[in-house]
Amino acid sequence: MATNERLMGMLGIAAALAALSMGCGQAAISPQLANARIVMDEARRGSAAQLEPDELLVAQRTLGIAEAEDNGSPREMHYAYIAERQTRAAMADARRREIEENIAHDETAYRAELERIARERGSMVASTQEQLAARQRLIDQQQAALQEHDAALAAEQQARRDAEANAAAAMARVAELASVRQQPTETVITLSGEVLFESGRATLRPQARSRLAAVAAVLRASPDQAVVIAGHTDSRGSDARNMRLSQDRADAVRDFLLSEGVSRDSIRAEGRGETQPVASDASAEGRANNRRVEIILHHASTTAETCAPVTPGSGTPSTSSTPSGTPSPPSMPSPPSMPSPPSTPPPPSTRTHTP
Amino acid sequence: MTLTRSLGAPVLACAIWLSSGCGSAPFPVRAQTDAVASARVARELGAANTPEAAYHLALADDQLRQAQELIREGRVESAERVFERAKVDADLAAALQREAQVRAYAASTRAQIEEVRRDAHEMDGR
Repeated sequence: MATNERLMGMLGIAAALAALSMGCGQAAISPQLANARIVMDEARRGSAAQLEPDELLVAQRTLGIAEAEDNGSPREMHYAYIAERQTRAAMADARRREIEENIAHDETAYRAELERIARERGSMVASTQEQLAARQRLIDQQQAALQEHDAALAAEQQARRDAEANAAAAMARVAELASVRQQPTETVITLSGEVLFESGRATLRPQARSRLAAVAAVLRASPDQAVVIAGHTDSRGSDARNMRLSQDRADAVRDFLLSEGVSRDSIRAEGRGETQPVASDASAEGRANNRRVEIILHHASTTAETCAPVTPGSGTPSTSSTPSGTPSPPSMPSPPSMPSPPSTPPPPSTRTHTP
Repeated sequence: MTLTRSLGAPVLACAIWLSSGCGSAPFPVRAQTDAVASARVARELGAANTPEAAYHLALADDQLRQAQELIREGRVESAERVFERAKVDADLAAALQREAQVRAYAASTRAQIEEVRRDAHEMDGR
Protein backbone atom coordinates (compact mmCIF):
# COMPACT_ATOMS: atom_id res chain seq x y z
CA MET A 1 0.00 0.00 0.00
CA ALA A 2 2.84 2.37 0.79
CA THR A 3 4.25 1.67 -2.63
CA ASN A 4 0.94 2.55 -4.24
CA GLU A 5 0.81 5.83 -2.38
CA ARG A 6 4.36 6.53 -3.39
CA LEU A 7 3.46 5.65 -6.95
CA MET A 8 0.52 8.04 -6.87
CA GLY A 9 2.77 10.74 -5.49
CA MET A 10 5.25 10.19 -8.26
CA LEU A 11 2.51 10.32 -10.85
CA GLY A 12 1.33 13.62 -9.35
CA ILE A 13 4.83 15.06 -9.57
CA ALA A 14 5.16 13.78 -13.11
CA ALA A 15 1.83 15.35 -14.08
CA ALA A 16 2.94 18.68 -12.63
CA LEU A 17 6.20 18.52 -14.56
CA ALA A 18 4.29 17.70 -17.74
CA ALA A 19 1.91 20.65 -17.18
CA LEU A 20 4.83 23.03 -16.67
CA SER A 21 6.50 21.96 -19.88
CA MET A 22 3.22 22.39 -21.75
CA GLY A 23 2.95 25.91 -20.44
CA CYS A 24 6.29 26.68 -22.07
CA GLY A 25 4.96 25.99 -25.56
CA GLN A 26 6.22 22.45 -25.91
CA ALA A 27 4.09 19.30 -25.81
CA ALA A 28 4.27 17.87 -22.33
CA ILE A 29 5.81 14.48 -21.60
CA SER A 30 3.44 11.92 -20.31
CA PRO A 31 3.10 11.35 -16.54
CA GLN A 32 4.28 7.80 -17.17
CA LEU A 33 7.58 9.04 -18.57
CA ALA A 34 8.07 11.49 -15.75
CA ASN A 35 7.36 8.75 -13.26
CA ALA A 36 9.69 6.33 -15.04
CA ARG A 37 12.50 8.87 -14.84
CA ILE A 38 11.96 9.38 -11.10
CA VAL A 39 11.98 5.67 -10.46
CA MET A 40 15.08 5.26 -12.60
CA ASP A 41 16.88 7.96 -10.62
CA GLU A 42 15.96 6.20 -7.42
CA ALA A 43 17.24 2.89 -8.79
CA ARG A 44 20.55 4.42 -9.82
CA ARG A 45 21.06 5.79 -6.32
CA GLY A 46 20.20 2.44 -4.74
CA SER A 47 21.77 -0.97 -4.82
CA ALA A 48 20.22 -2.02 -8.13
CA ALA A 49 23.02 -0.41 -10.14
CA GLN A 50 25.53 -2.69 -8.45
CA LEU A 51 23.48 -5.82 -7.87
CA GLU A 52 21.25 -5.94 -10.95
CA PRO A 53 23.07 -3.90 -13.62
CA ASP A 54 21.76 -6.01 -16.53
CA GLU A 55 18.12 -5.64 -15.55
CA LEU A 56 18.62 -1.96 -14.97
CA LEU A 57 20.28 -1.61 -18.38
CA VAL A 58 17.25 -3.17 -20.06
CA ALA A 59 15.00 -0.73 -18.22
CA GLN A 60 17.32 2.11 -19.20
CA ARG A 61 17.01 1.18 -22.86
CA THR A 62 13.26 0.97 -22.63
CA LEU A 63 13.23 4.37 -21.02
CA GLY A 64 15.38 5.61 -23.89
CA ILE A 65 12.83 4.34 -26.39
CA ALA A 66 10.08 6.13 -24.48
CA GLU A 67 12.06 9.34 -24.46
CA ALA A 68 12.59 9.02 -28.21
CA GLU A 69 8.87 8.98 -28.84
CA ASP A 70 6.80 12.11 -29.23
CA ASN A 71 5.99 13.82 -25.99
CA GLY A 72 2.67 12.69 -24.60
CA SER A 73 2.15 10.12 -27.35
CA PRO A 74 0.63 6.75 -26.55
CA ARG A 75 3.89 5.02 -27.50
CA GLU A 76 5.80 7.23 -25.10
CA MET A 77 3.35 6.37 -22.35
CA HIS A 78 3.51 2.69 -23.25
CA TYR A 79 7.30 2.38 -23.13
CA ALA A 80 7.54 4.61 -20.07
CA TYR A 81 5.10 2.31 -18.33
CA ILE A 82 7.19 -0.69 -19.27
CA ALA A 83 10.43 1.03 -18.26
CA GLU A 84 9.01 1.99 -14.88
CA ARG A 85 7.89 -1.60 -14.20
CA GLN A 86 11.22 -3.02 -15.33
CA THR A 87 13.06 -0.58 -13.12
CA ARG A 88 10.99 -1.47 -10.11
CA ALA A 89 11.46 -5.17 -10.77
CA ALA A 90 15.23 -4.60 -10.93
CA MET A 91 15.04 -2.77 -7.62
CA ALA A 92 13.05 -5.62 -6.03
CA ASP A 93 15.59 -8.16 -7.29
CA ALA A 94 18.42 -6.03 -5.90
CA ARG A 95 16.76 -5.87 -2.51
CA ARG A 96 16.28 -9.62 -2.59
CA ARG A 97 19.97 -10.07 -3.36
CA GLU A 98 20.89 -7.87 -0.43
CA ILE A 99 18.70 -9.91 1.90
CA GLU A 100 20.16 -13.14 0.58
CA GLU A 101 23.65 -11.86 1.31
CA ASN A 102 22.57 -10.94 4.81
CA ILE A 103 21.09 -14.39 5.25
CA ALA A 104 24.33 -15.97 4.11
CA HIS A 105 26.19 -13.81 6.62
CA ASP A 106 23.74 -14.70 9.39
CA GLU A 107 23.96 -18.40 8.58
CA THR A 108 27.73 -18.25 8.70
CA ALA A 109 27.55 -16.60 12.09
CA TYR A 110 24.93 -19.13 13.13
CA ARG A 111 27.15 -22.06 12.19
CA ALA A 112 30.09 -20.48 13.97
CA GLU A 113 27.94 -19.99 17.05
CA LEU A 114 26.79 -23.60 16.95
CA GLU A 115 30.37 -24.82 16.57
CA ARG A 116 31.48 -22.67 19.49
CA ILE A 117 28.65 -23.98 21.67
CA ALA A 118 29.41 -27.56 20.62
CA ARG A 119 33.08 -27.07 21.49
CA GLU A 120 32.27 -25.62 24.89
CA ARG A 121 29.71 -28.30 25.65
CA GLY A 122 32.08 -31.01 24.45
CA SER A 123 34.84 -29.65 26.64
CA MET A 124 32.49 -29.43 29.59
CA VAL A 125 31.23 -32.98 29.04
CA ALA A 126 34.78 -34.32 28.72
CA SER A 127 35.80 -32.58 31.93
CA THR A 128 32.79 -33.94 33.77
CA GLN A 129 33.42 -37.43 32.47
CA GLU A 130 37.04 -37.23 33.58
CA GLN A 131 35.99 -36.17 37.08
CA LEU A 132 33.45 -38.98 37.24
CA ALA A 133 36.05 -41.50 36.12
CA ALA A 134 38.48 -40.28 38.79
CA ARG A 135 35.79 -40.58 41.45
CA GLN A 136 34.91 -44.04 40.19
CA ARG A 137 38.55 -45.08 40.42
CA LEU A 138 38.70 -43.81 43.98
CA ILE A 139 35.51 -45.66 44.86
CA ASP A 140 36.90 -48.85 43.30
CA GLN A 141 40.11 -48.52 45.30
CA GLN A 142 38.19 -47.93 48.51
CA GLN A 143 35.91 -50.87 47.82
CA ALA A 144 38.89 -53.10 47.08
CA ALA A 145 40.58 -51.99 50.30
CA LEU A 146 37.35 -52.56 52.20
CA GLN A 147 36.98 -56.04 50.76
CA GLU A 148 40.58 -56.80 51.61
CA HIS A 149 40.04 -55.54 55.13
CA ASP A 150 36.84 -57.56 55.48
CA ALA A 151 38.61 -60.67 54.23
CA ALA A 152 41.47 -60.14 56.67
CA LEU A 153 39.01 -59.54 59.49
CA ALA A 154 37.05 -62.68 58.58
CA ALA A 155 40.26 -64.69 58.43
CA GLU A 156 41.34 -63.33 61.77
CA GLN A 157 37.96 -64.08 63.31
CA GLN A 158 38.03 -67.56 61.85
CA ALA A 159 41.56 -68.10 63.14
CA ARG A 160 40.45 -66.91 66.57
CA ARG A 161 37.46 -69.22 66.49
CA ASP A 162 39.70 -72.09 65.43
CA ALA A 163 42.18 -71.30 68.19
CA GLU A 164 39.40 -71.10 70.75
CA ALA A 165 37.96 -74.36 69.52
CA ASN A 166 41.38 -76.00 69.65
CA ALA A 167 41.96 -74.64 73.13
CA ALA A 168 38.56 -75.83 74.28
CA ALA A 169 39.10 -79.26 72.78
CA ALA A 170 42.55 -79.51 74.35
CA MET A 171 41.21 -78.36 77.70
CA ALA A 172 38.44 -80.95 77.49
CA ARG A 173 41.08 -83.61 76.87
CA VAL A 174 43.07 -82.39 79.88
CA ALA A 175 39.95 -82.38 82.03
CA GLU A 176 39.70 -86.11 81.43
CA LEU A 177 43.22 -86.61 82.73
CA ALA A 178 43.62 -84.05 85.50
CA SER A 179 41.81 -81.76 87.88
CA VAL A 180 40.93 -78.45 86.25
CA ARG A 181 39.72 -75.38 88.15
CA GLN A 182 38.38 -72.43 86.22
CA GLN A 183 38.66 -69.13 88.01
CA PRO A 184 37.98 -65.60 86.82
CA THR A 185 41.66 -64.75 86.45
CA GLU A 186 43.27 -68.10 85.94
CA THR A 187 42.83 -71.76 85.18
CA VAL A 188 44.62 -74.26 87.41
CA ILE A 189 45.42 -77.75 86.17
CA THR A 190 46.44 -80.04 89.02
CA LEU A 191 48.37 -83.21 88.30
CA SER A 192 49.02 -85.73 91.06
CA GLY A 193 52.66 -86.14 92.02
CA GLU A 194 52.02 -89.86 92.35
CA VAL A 195 51.06 -90.08 88.71
CA LEU A 196 53.92 -87.93 87.42
CA PHE A 197 56.87 -88.95 89.56
CA GLU A 198 58.22 -91.81 91.55
CA SER A 199 58.41 -91.18 95.27
CA GLY A 200 61.21 -88.81 96.24
CA ARG A 201 62.44 -88.34 92.68
CA ALA A 202 61.99 -85.74 89.90
CA THR A 203 61.99 -88.09 86.93
CA LEU A 204 58.80 -88.25 84.93
CA ARG A 205 57.03 -91.58 84.79
CA PRO A 206 56.32 -92.87 81.26
CA GLN A 207 52.57 -92.59 81.79
CA ALA A 208 53.00 -88.94 82.82
CA ARG A 209 54.07 -87.98 79.36
CA SER A 210 50.68 -88.54 77.72
CA ARG A 211 48.99 -86.35 80.34
CA LEU A 212 51.59 -83.62 80.01
CA ALA A 213 51.31 -83.84 76.21
CA ALA A 214 47.62 -82.98 76.58
CA VAL A 215 48.55 -80.04 78.79
CA ALA A 216 51.11 -78.93 76.20
CA ALA A 217 48.34 -78.90 73.60
CA VAL A 218 46.35 -76.53 75.80
CA LEU A 219 49.31 -74.23 76.24
CA ARG A 220 50.12 -74.23 72.53
CA ALA A 221 46.51 -73.26 71.76
CA SER A 222 46.78 -70.26 74.11
CA PRO A 223 50.25 -68.89 73.42
CA ASP A 224 49.45 -65.49 74.94
CA GLN A 225 48.77 -66.83 78.41
CA ALA A 226 51.46 -66.67 81.05
CA VAL A 227 52.00 -70.06 82.64
CA VAL A 228 53.36 -70.88 86.08
CA ILE A 229 54.31 -74.45 86.91
CA ALA A 230 54.21 -74.87 90.64
CA GLY A 231 55.64 -77.97 92.32
CA HIS A 232 54.29 -79.00 95.76
CA THR A 233 55.29 -81.69 98.31
CA ASP A 234 53.87 -83.02 101.51
CA SER A 235 55.39 -82.11 104.84
CA ARG A 236 57.51 -85.19 105.32
CA GLY A 237 61.23 -84.50 105.21
CA SER A 238 63.08 -81.26 105.64
CA ASP A 239 61.79 -78.01 104.21
CA ALA A 240 64.91 -77.53 102.16
CA ARG A 241 64.71 -80.94 100.63
CA ASN A 242 61.02 -80.50 99.89
CA MET A 243 61.67 -77.13 98.34
CA ARG A 244 64.41 -78.52 96.14
CA LEU A 245 62.34 -81.55 95.15
CA SER A 246 59.35 -79.41 94.24
CA GLN A 247 61.55 -77.13 92.16
CA ASP A 248 63.15 -80.08 90.38
CA ARG A 249 59.75 -81.54 89.62
CA ALA A 250 58.46 -78.21 88.33
CA ASP A 251 61.56 -77.92 86.15
CA ALA A 252 61.04 -81.43 84.81
CA VAL A 253 57.47 -80.62 83.86
CA ARG A 254 58.54 -77.32 82.30
CA ASP A 255 61.29 -79.01 80.29
CA PHE A 256 58.88 -81.57 78.98
CA LEU A 257 56.39 -78.89 77.97
CA LEU A 258 59.13 -76.97 76.22
CA SER A 259 60.07 -80.11 74.34
CA GLU A 260 56.45 -80.33 73.23
CA GLY A 261 56.61 -76.90 71.55
CA VAL A 262 55.32 -74.61 74.28
CA SER A 263 56.82 -71.11 74.08
CA ARG A 264 59.56 -70.64 76.68
CA ASP A 265 58.86 -66.94 76.96
CA SER A 266 55.61 -67.44 78.79
CA ILE A 267 56.45 -70.35 81.09
CA ARG A 268 57.98 -70.30 84.52
CA ALA A 269 58.69 -73.07 87.03
CA GLU A 270 58.41 -72.57 90.79
CA GLY A 271 59.11 -74.89 93.67
CA ARG A 272 56.78 -74.27 96.58
CA GLY A 273 57.70 -77.21 98.77
CA GLU A 274 55.23 -77.96 101.53
CA THR A 275 54.06 -74.37 101.96
CA GLN A 276 50.71 -74.67 100.21
CA PRO A 277 49.03 -77.89 101.32
CA VAL A 278 45.56 -78.61 100.11
CA ALA A 279 44.91 -81.41 102.58
CA SER A 280 46.08 -82.63 105.96
CA ASP A 281 49.38 -84.45 106.00
CA ALA A 282 48.09 -86.58 108.85
CA SER A 283 46.64 -89.17 106.48
CA ALA A 284 48.16 -90.92 103.53
CA GLU A 285 45.39 -89.65 101.27
CA GLY A 286 45.98 -86.07 102.38
CA ARG A 287 49.71 -86.34 101.77
CA ALA A 288 49.05 -87.79 98.35
CA ASN A 289 46.88 -84.81 97.51
CA ASN A 290 49.53 -82.41 98.67
CA ARG A 291 52.14 -84.02 96.41
CA ARG A 292 51.18 -82.39 93.18
CA VAL A 293 52.15 -80.15 90.30
CA GLU A 294 49.89 -77.23 89.42
CA ILE A 295 49.98 -75.66 85.98
CA ILE A 296 48.48 -72.20 86.34
CA LEU A 297 47.31 -70.42 83.18
CA HIS A 298 46.85 -66.72 83.75
CA HIS A 299 44.19 -65.34 81.43
CA ALA A 300 45.43 -62.83 78.93
CA SER A 301 43.70 -59.77 80.41
CA THR A 302 45.20 -60.46 83.78
CA THR A 303 48.58 -61.67 82.67
CA ALA A 304 50.38 -58.51 83.64
CA GLU A 305 48.99 -58.62 87.12
CA THR A 306 49.42 -62.31 87.69
CA CYS A 307 52.89 -62.79 86.33
CA ALA A 308 54.14 -62.03 89.79
CA PRO A 309 54.96 -65.09 91.87
CA VAL A 310 51.97 -66.69 93.48
CA THR A 311 51.92 -66.35 97.20
CA PRO A 312 51.11 -69.27 99.42
CA GLY A 313 47.47 -69.79 100.04
CA SER A 314 46.27 -67.94 96.99
CA GLY A 315 43.85 -69.35 94.46
CA THR A 316 40.63 -70.42 96.03
CA PRO A 317 39.00 -72.92 93.68
CA SER A 318 35.75 -71.83 92.11
CA THR A 319 35.01 -74.75 89.84
CA SER A 320 36.67 -78.01 89.48
CA SER A 321 36.48 -81.22 87.62
CA THR A 322 37.82 -84.48 88.78
CA PRO A 323 39.25 -86.71 86.12
CA SER A 324 39.18 -90.40 86.54
CA GLY A 325 42.37 -91.75 87.99
CA THR A 326 43.44 -88.49 89.48
CA PRO A 327 43.40 -87.51 93.13
CA SER A 328 40.14 -86.17 94.42
CA PRO A 329 39.98 -82.51 95.26
CA PRO A 330 40.64 -81.83 98.87
CA SER A 331 37.70 -82.60 101.08
CA MET A 332 38.91 -80.40 103.84
CA PRO A 333 38.39 -76.65 103.71
CA SER A 334 41.11 -74.71 102.07
CA PRO A 335 43.33 -72.74 104.32
CA PRO A 336 42.46 -69.15 104.72
CA SER A 337 43.88 -67.23 101.86
CA MET A 338 44.80 -63.61 101.59
CA PRO A 339 45.51 -62.74 97.95
CA SER A 340 48.65 -60.69 97.73
CA PRO A 341 48.87 -57.65 95.52
CA PRO A 342 50.85 -58.22 92.32
CA SER A 343 53.74 -56.18 93.58
CA THR A 344 54.11 -58.27 96.70
CA PRO A 345 57.48 -60.02 96.64
CA PRO A 346 57.53 -63.78 97.00
CA PRO A 347 57.86 -65.17 100.49
CA PRO A 348 61.30 -66.29 101.54
CA SER A 349 60.27 -69.92 101.38
CA THR A 350 59.17 -69.69 97.74
CA ARG A 351 61.92 -70.28 95.26
CA THR A 352 61.46 -68.92 91.76
CA HIS A 353 63.36 -70.55 89.00
CA THR A 354 63.32 -69.38 85.48
CA PRO A 355 64.87 -71.56 82.82
CA MET B 1 -6.96 -18.76 -13.94
CA THR B 2 -8.99 -20.61 -16.52
CA LEU B 3 -8.84 -17.63 -18.84
CA THR B 4 -5.08 -17.36 -18.45
CA ARG B 5 -4.54 -21.03 -19.16
CA SER B 6 -6.78 -20.94 -22.20
CA LEU B 7 -4.95 -17.92 -23.48
CA GLY B 8 -1.68 -19.66 -22.89
CA ALA B 9 -2.36 -22.32 -25.43
CA PRO B 10 -0.65 -21.39 -28.71
CA VAL B 11 -3.14 -23.40 -30.71
CA LEU B 12 -6.01 -21.40 -29.36
CA ALA B 13 -4.10 -18.22 -30.05
CA CYS B 14 -3.64 -19.18 -33.65
CA ALA B 15 -7.32 -19.92 -33.96
CA ILE B 16 -8.17 -16.50 -32.62
CA TRP B 17 -5.70 -14.95 -35.00
CA LEU B 18 -7.22 -16.76 -37.95
CA SER B 19 -10.73 -15.76 -36.90
CA SER B 20 -9.75 -12.13 -36.61
CA GLY B 21 -8.91 -11.88 -40.28
CA CYS B 22 -5.72 -12.72 -42.13
CA GLY B 23 -5.40 -9.40 -43.81
CA SER B 24 -4.71 -7.23 -40.71
CA ALA B 25 -1.61 -7.02 -38.45
CA PRO B 26 -0.23 -10.38 -37.27
CA PHE B 27 -1.58 -11.82 -34.04
CA PRO B 28 0.84 -11.04 -31.14
CA VAL B 29 1.54 -14.64 -30.28
CA ARG B 30 4.88 -13.94 -28.66
CA ALA B 31 3.59 -11.07 -26.54
CA GLN B 32 0.60 -13.02 -25.41
CA THR B 33 2.63 -16.14 -24.60
CA ASP B 34 5.19 -14.18 -22.65
CA ALA B 35 2.54 -12.35 -20.67
CA VAL B 36 0.60 -15.46 -19.83
CA ALA B 37 3.78 -17.33 -18.81
CA SER B 38 4.89 -14.46 -16.58
CA ALA B 39 1.49 -14.31 -14.92
CA ARG B 40 1.57 -18.05 -14.30
CA VAL B 41 5.01 -17.85 -12.73
CA ALA B 42 3.95 -14.99 -10.45
CA ARG B 43 0.86 -16.87 -9.36
CA GLU B 44 2.78 -20.09 -8.68
CA LEU B 45 5.21 -18.13 -6.55
CA GLY B 46 2.27 -17.07 -4.40
CA ALA B 47 2.09 -13.46 -5.51
CA ALA B 48 -1.65 -13.45 -4.82
CA ASN B 49 -0.87 -13.79 -1.09
CA THR B 50 1.38 -10.73 -0.76
CA PRO B 51 -0.40 -7.34 -1.00
CA GLU B 52 1.97 -5.43 -3.26
CA ALA B 53 2.67 -8.39 -5.50
CA ALA B 54 -1.03 -9.23 -5.59
CA TYR B 55 -1.78 -5.70 -6.80
CA HIS B 56 0.50 -6.04 -9.82
CA LEU B 57 -0.71 -9.57 -10.52
CA ALA B 58 -4.25 -8.26 -10.57
CA LEU B 59 -3.16 -5.52 -12.98
CA ALA B 60 -1.60 -8.14 -15.23
CA ASP B 61 -4.76 -10.22 -15.20
CA ASP B 62 -6.88 -7.18 -16.02
CA GLN B 63 -4.61 -6.29 -18.91
CA LEU B 64 -4.70 -9.83 -20.21
CA ARG B 65 -8.49 -9.65 -20.28
CA GLN B 66 -8.32 -6.20 -21.84
CA ALA B 67 -5.96 -7.46 -24.55
CA GLN B 68 -8.30 -10.31 -25.25
CA GLU B 69 -11.11 -7.88 -25.67
CA LEU B 70 -9.03 -5.76 -28.07
CA ILE B 71 -8.28 -8.82 -30.13
CA ARG B 72 -11.95 -9.55 -30.40
CA GLU B 73 -12.42 -6.00 -31.59
CA GLY B 74 -9.66 -6.51 -34.19
CA ARG B 75 -7.27 -4.04 -32.57
CA VAL B 76 -4.33 -6.31 -32.66
CA GLU B 77 -1.60 -3.70 -32.30
CA SER B 78 -3.23 -2.25 -29.20
CA ALA B 79 -3.65 -5.75 -27.86
CA GLU B 80 0.06 -6.47 -28.31
CA ARG B 81 1.01 -3.39 -26.28
CA VAL B 82 -1.42 -4.35 -23.54
CA PHE B 83 0.08 -7.86 -23.50
CA GLU B 84 3.52 -6.27 -23.09
CA ARG B 85 2.32 -4.19 -20.18
CA ALA B 86 0.65 -7.23 -18.64
CA LYS B 87 3.96 -9.08 -18.85
CA VAL B 88 5.98 -6.40 -17.04
CA ASP B 89 3.32 -6.16 -14.34
CA ALA B 90 3.44 -9.95 -13.90
CA ASP B 91 7.26 -9.87 -13.81
CA LEU B 92 7.17 -7.13 -11.20
CA ALA B 93 4.66 -9.17 -9.14
CA ALA B 94 7.01 -12.16 -9.28
CA ALA B 95 10.02 -10.04 -8.28
CA LEU B 96 8.13 -8.54 -5.34
CA GLN B 97 6.96 -11.99 -4.26
CA ARG B 98 10.49 -13.40 -4.36
CA GLU B 99 11.66 -10.50 -2.28
CA ALA B 100 8.89 -11.09 0.25
CA GLN B 101 9.73 -14.78 0.47
CA VAL B 102 13.42 -14.12 1.06
CA ARG B 103 12.56 -11.46 3.61
CA ALA B 104 10.38 -13.93 5.54
CA TYR B 105 13.11 -16.55 5.38
CA ALA B 106 15.63 -14.04 6.70
CA ALA B 107 13.38 -13.19 9.62
CA SER B 108 12.93 -16.88 10.42
CA THR B 109 16.67 -17.53 10.26
CA ARG B 110 17.41 -14.60 12.51
CA ALA B 111 14.81 -15.76 15.02
CA GLN B 112 16.42 -19.21 15.11
CA ILE B 113 19.84 -17.70 15.70
CA GLU B 114 18.50 -15.57 18.51
CA GLU B 115 16.81 -18.58 20.06
CA VAL B 116 20.02 -20.59 19.96
CA ARG B 117 21.96 -17.73 21.47
CA ARG B 118 19.37 -17.31 24.20
CA ASP B 119 19.44 -21.04 25.02
CA ALA B 120 23.23 -21.03 25.09
CA HIS B 121 23.24 -18.01 27.36
CA GLU B 122 20.77 -19.68 29.72
CA MET B 123 22.85 -22.87 29.81
CA ASP B 124 26.00 -20.86 30.50
CA GLY B 125 24.11 -19.12 33.29
CA ARG B 126 23.35 -22.48 34.88
